[in-house]
Order: sequence, then structure tokens, then C-alpha cells
Amino acid sequence: MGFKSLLIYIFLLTPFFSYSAVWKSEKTWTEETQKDFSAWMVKEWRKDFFSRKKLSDGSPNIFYGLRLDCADTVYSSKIIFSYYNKYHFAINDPTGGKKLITNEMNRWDKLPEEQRITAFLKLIYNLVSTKSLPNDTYPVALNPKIISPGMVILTTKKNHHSWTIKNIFDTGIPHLIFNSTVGAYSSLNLQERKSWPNGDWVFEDDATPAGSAGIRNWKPQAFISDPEWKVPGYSEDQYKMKPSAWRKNLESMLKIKEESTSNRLKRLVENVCNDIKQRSEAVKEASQFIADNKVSCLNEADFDTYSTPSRDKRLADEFISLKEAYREALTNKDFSDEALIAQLHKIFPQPQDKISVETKAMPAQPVAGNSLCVIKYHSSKSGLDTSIDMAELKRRLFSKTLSSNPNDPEEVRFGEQKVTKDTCPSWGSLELNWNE
Amino acid sequence: MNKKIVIRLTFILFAFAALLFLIFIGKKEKTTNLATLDTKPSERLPEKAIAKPVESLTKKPLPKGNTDMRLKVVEDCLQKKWEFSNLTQLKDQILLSESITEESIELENIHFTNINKENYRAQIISTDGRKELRLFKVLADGLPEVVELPSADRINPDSTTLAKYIDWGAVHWHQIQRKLKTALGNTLMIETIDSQVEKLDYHLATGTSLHCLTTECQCK
Repeated sequence: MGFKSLLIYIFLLTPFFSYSAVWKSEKTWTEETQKDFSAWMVKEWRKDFFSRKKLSDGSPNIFYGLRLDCADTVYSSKIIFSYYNKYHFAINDPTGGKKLITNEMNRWDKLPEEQRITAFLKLIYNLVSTKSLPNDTYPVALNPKIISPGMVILTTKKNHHSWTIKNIFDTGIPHLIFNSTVGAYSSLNLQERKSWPNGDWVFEDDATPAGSAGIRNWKPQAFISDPEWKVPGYSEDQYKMKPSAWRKNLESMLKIKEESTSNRLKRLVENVCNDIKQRSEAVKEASQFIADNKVSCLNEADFDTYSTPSRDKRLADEFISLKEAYREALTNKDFSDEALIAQLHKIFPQPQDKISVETKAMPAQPVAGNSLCVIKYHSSKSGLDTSIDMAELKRRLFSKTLSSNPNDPEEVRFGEQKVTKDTCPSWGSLELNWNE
Repeated sequence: MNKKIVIRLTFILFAFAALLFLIFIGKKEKTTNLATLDTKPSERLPEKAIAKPVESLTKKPLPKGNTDMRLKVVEDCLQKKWEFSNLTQLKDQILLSESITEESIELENIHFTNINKENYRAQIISTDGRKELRLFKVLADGLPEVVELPSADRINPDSTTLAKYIDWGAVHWHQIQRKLKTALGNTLMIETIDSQVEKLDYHLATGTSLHCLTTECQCK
């Protein structure tokens, strides 16, 4: 026994004295970390990250079931990467405290590690928002050697939205993973799109550095508490161009090879269709919430969660991008996919006209053989499910008959009929505007 | 080592462990019980009615935007670093308070301590005309833990609701992030973050930017 037994006693008692961090970090976040982070984002960050119960190796997904809004999604990408790769993680305390929020927090040291990381994430979700992102990130130069997966896109405060860059293809097109406002009924799936967002929307109201919009990178650990302009790599490039040119400039700067016209159109169709499906899910979630909670009018917080004005604005932007690409393709006569032309013609019968003019002249579009992206909504009035295609949805969207108001029944949300009597209170502007 | 010594050693070690446990762990504050707070919001109010105001603030009231200091910093920066073709005009525009055409508060962080010496932080986030109140209790680790508020109180709270949660008499730190707009040819934007003069971050944009942190400025 003797000295040996003393060591054993000390070993056995050690857990009483020790604090456990959320995870034990072995590496600090530096500029070099960006390469590891980019590689991880391309490989691991996906829209079902929080909705799949098992990982590809069959092990349980400890992050299954977490519900995230857009800023939560952005922060999660960095936290989860840091957790899996044992990097130090730190952000500024959004409540104005001097202490950083880090993985060294020992508030949950009685929990096993898997529960500590989810408890940490839940704390972060309660603290962060698009308002805190400017303090933890900085705007980057428009340089193909700099812009990379793992970076973040932030809008101005007016539109308060953010995206993660999962990948950037050789064509200069990004693969973005993001989410919108979520409630208890929201899908666990994140959202995705394969195009840069509309610069007019990203920089709306403030296209200056003060707006904090554009592509931003995480501050290296050594500069985490410094103002953004002190971080090496800080650049105001993005504010020196017109917001309307931001997307095109990005694409042309980042592309290594040309995207074929046919692929471009198919990608943009996919973006529109994704947005339509996500909107459809959001509308159904609102109906479900109202039915389950037996409320006739939503309160302001629930109204904010289930209304869709930003989503509808983004959908309008996607339609406009598709129309512009289609018009350009017709002008250049550089694609000959007859089936696709017929499908697009159903949506845009007068491609040379402004979308509002075209929509006015457009008759109702029934589902047909050349329909794209057919979805169903439930009409509470008739008690039936109704199918609607991309062309008809576009017609209703740009004739302003779709409703972003979550108190409206599905047939009104989808523009089948206009609301006749609106007795519920409404918050914020629900009017759809677009730039063409 | 005989059995007696082993028993004594074990006893001493356990006593030592218990002592350390009491010192380091026993003192730790409990995590805010959100479930309880959810249903009884008024019971967790930081006893604001009997809170003592923080001494430093009773002597020196919180600056409301701290205009003089703010303008002084901008003036210094303009004189030292700003290479603007019409410096005087620009400076006059900024320094004239009436040239500020719009001011909007975007974020407020309010730190206060109640009579039980519990620290709380309130955050008022303004987005597109909508205000959201968030309340946090500062735990023993010096970091915040959310205090759930009923949604009716959380969204667009009026001054009565704010007073229900914020002990204005016991505020010891108040940070205001605001945006000022003034016109000079193209719109000149100034965004400031004020907190009792300790941090001032400016963004001016007329194609060039000026940033200041306290008195250190950089023109980009």
C-alpha cells in the first residue's frame, strides 16, 4: 500500500475537485483554421444536420432535434466544427458583459459531455441574434483567395437575415445553408439555396460599412474583442459597389469555369422550387399551430414566428433571377432544351416584359404536363386539397394575392381567394415589394 | 502502513475533499429555473423597489448619447486623419447637432444589481419598428442565463412593462447602439455605440470610412 494507495485515493477524489469545460480544446482559432473549417463545411454541414437521427457511421446524432433560427444556424456551424475538432471557441457576450462566452464555461460540468455541448448551444441560441454577428465577424475583401466556405452572409438590420456558406462551386455559385424564424412546429430541416442572395435586399437601407451587411468571416481569437476594423483582413470592398451589382461581381470573381445556360436555368428553377416548398411547409406549420392551440388570432410573438413577408420577398427575388436568366438565354440563343423552354414559357409567357406587366396579362395556370414544382395546399372552405404549380404561384405572388399573414387560412395564404374580413391585429409590413 | 493509519488518512482526505467541495462547488449559484420563471414571472423580479442605486451613477447620471464626447472624438479624428477635400464643411455638418436628421436606437444593454446583489442584464432589441425585451440573470461564472418572459411582455414592451423587469434606479451600465443620419451631398451615415464614454465606434461613410475606438481612430 503506502504511497501507491495515497495516489489511488487522490485519483478517486479528483472528480470532486475538477471542473469540466464544455469540451476540452487543444487548438486556438487562427486564420489558418479557416482551411479546416472550410473543408468541414463542404463535407459535413447539410440541411438535415439537426433532423437526422443517426450519422452516416450509424452513431446517434447528438444534435438531433435542435431548432434554430438564422443566426443560431450561423453560430452552430462554428461551434459544432470547433467541438468536433477540439478548437477553442469564443464569442463576445451579446448582453454587453466583458467576459467572453467560450467552450471553457463550466456551468454544466455535472453533465456528460454530449449534454454539455447541447446545453451550451441552447444558451448560445438564447443570447445571439443577427445583431450580435457584427461583433463576432468582420467584412472580407472581394478576393477569390479569401472568400471561402464557413464564412457568413449578413443582411442589414432592416432585413435581419443571415446564411452560412457551405460551399462555393467552380462556377462561382455558392451553396448556402440557413434557416428562418422557427417555432415549436417548424421542421427540423434547415433550408438551402444555390445562388448568392439579391444584393439590393442584403444591403437594403444601408450599403455602408455601418450596415454590417455582406460576406463576413469569423474574427480570429486574438482579435475577438477588437473592433472589426482592427482585424487583419478587414475590407470595405463590398461597400464600394452598387448593391445591385454585388451578386454578379461575386459570381464573376469567384468562377473558375462557366456554368452552362441549361445548368444555370435548372439551378435557378431548383432554388425557386425549394423556396416554394419551404413556404408551403411554413404555411402548414402556422395552420397546425392555430388548430392545436385553438386560437383565433395569433399574439405578436407567434405572428412574428409564423408570418412570411421576408420569405415571400426572397421567393419574389428568386423568380426575378430566374426570369432574367431565361430572358438572357433567349436573347443569346444559347440553349436548346425544348422541354425546359416549354416549362419556363408557362411561367414567363412574356419574358421581355417587366414581371408586373407580364403577370397582369397572364391567365390562371392550371397544372399541366409542362408544370414545374407542383405542391398542394388544403382549403378549409372546400375541405379539399388543391394542387398548384410554379407558374400559377408566380402569377398569384406578383399580382399580390398571396398572403404573408399567418392568421389567414391556407386558401388565402396561397392566394386562391382574398381575405374578406380581417379582424385580427397585424404587425409589421406584410406588403410585397420587389426590385427588377 | 497499518490499518489505523490508512483509516486516518482516508478520513483526512475526505474531510479535505468535503472542505474544498464546500468552498468551490457549494457556493455555486443554481442555474435559473426557467420552468418556474415561466409561470411566475413576477416572483423572480429583482426586487427593484428596494434596490439601492449604484453610487457612481447617483453622482454621475448616465450620458444620453454623450453628444459632446462623441463629437469631440470625431472632431479630433477629422483633424488628425481625415483627408477630406471639404474638411470644414464636413466637420461643421457633423458638429452641428441640428444636422442630425435621424436617430434610431437599435440596441440597448442595461446592467443592474438588485438589493440581494444579484446581477441582471436587460436587452432591448429594436428591429424595423419592433422592440424585443430580453432579460438575463448573471450567474456565479459572470455570464448570463436567460430569464424567460411571457411573450406579451417580451414583444413591444411599454415603459410600465420595462419598469416591471428593469430596476432603473440600480443601473450601473447602460450601452446604447444608435444610428445617426445627417446629410452632406450624399447621405452621410454615422453609427455610434456609446457606453459611458468607454467605447465609441464610428462608421462614417462617404466612400471612405472613419472608425474610432475611444480616441484611437483609423480612416479607411
